[in-house]
Amino acid sequence: MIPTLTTPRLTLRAQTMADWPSYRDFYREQAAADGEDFDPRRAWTLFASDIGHWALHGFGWLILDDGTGAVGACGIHHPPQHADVEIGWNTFAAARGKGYAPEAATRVLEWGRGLIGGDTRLVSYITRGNAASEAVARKIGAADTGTASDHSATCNVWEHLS
Amino acid sequence: MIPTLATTRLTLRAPALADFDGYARFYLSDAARTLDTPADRRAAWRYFTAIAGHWILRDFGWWMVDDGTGAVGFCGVHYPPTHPEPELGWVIYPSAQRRGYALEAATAARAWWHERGNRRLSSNIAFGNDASIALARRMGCTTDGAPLAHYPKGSAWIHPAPAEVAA
Repeated sequence: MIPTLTTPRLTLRAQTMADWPSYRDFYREQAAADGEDFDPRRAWTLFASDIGHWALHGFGWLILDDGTGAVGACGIHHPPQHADVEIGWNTFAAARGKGYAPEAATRVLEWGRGLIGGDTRLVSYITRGNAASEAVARKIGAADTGTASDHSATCNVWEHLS
Repeated sequence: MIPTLATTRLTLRAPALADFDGYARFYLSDAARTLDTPADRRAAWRYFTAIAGHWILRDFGWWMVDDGTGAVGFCGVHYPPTHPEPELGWVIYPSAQRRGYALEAATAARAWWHERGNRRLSSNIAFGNDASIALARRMGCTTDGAPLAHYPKGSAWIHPAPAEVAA
């Protein structure tokens, strides 16, 4: 059900329990960066939810593996509060600066289009001012619509036109 | 991937998109106050998709309980890494309570767990949740009453081992 995709440097695959420590550490760092308390139970819910999405929608998140283990995540998802199907990406701290996000996202975009069809709108919701994510979006061919998303006033809707 | 169990009146089955509304409504209602609850509908979606995700990751998890009209609750064994051990839980939505559904579903789930070669099982029940405590007693569970580190509003009710259940 969950495919394995490859790029020049990465395998994009289903996550397993072996990926949990890396994933948990990523969310712990995010919480610290946002000045929030870290709750490992919440991180587990997100971890299980990311793979569970596949069972409900037939698409979801994949783990990025550079041969050393999980170094990030990338996928398409559609939670009910989002107006459109979204492609998203995270790179775990130790693996940043290597261009993994655009490499993975390009592959997921290609695969995702085949799954959801050319007529379905595909977007990324990016916090205004998140330069790193905006750079990735631009690199993979998305354009900022300039409008805020319905579900979050701080995120702009970037549209994937290919 | 997620097996289906049939009891006298119920089907324990995989979650489907159509189950989400009832699930979210339950978790955001007062009926869920003793549980660890999502803050809003958005978080409830995460909890809901995590049900299927747990099955993929652990090869066991919660089933939706269906009485033929749709999902009327959920039941099964879960083991987040933040838990000390696997736990059997049950929730029947208020509109379907008082029919013995929880006992029927939980008994089937426990039998499935034991058939897989597992012996140890507990259920974490909030102090004062009289309905669930009564059910745990009916299933032969016992507790030492000590608040749990990861769930201080309740204690662990330990299920009898497979041989004791069969006896």
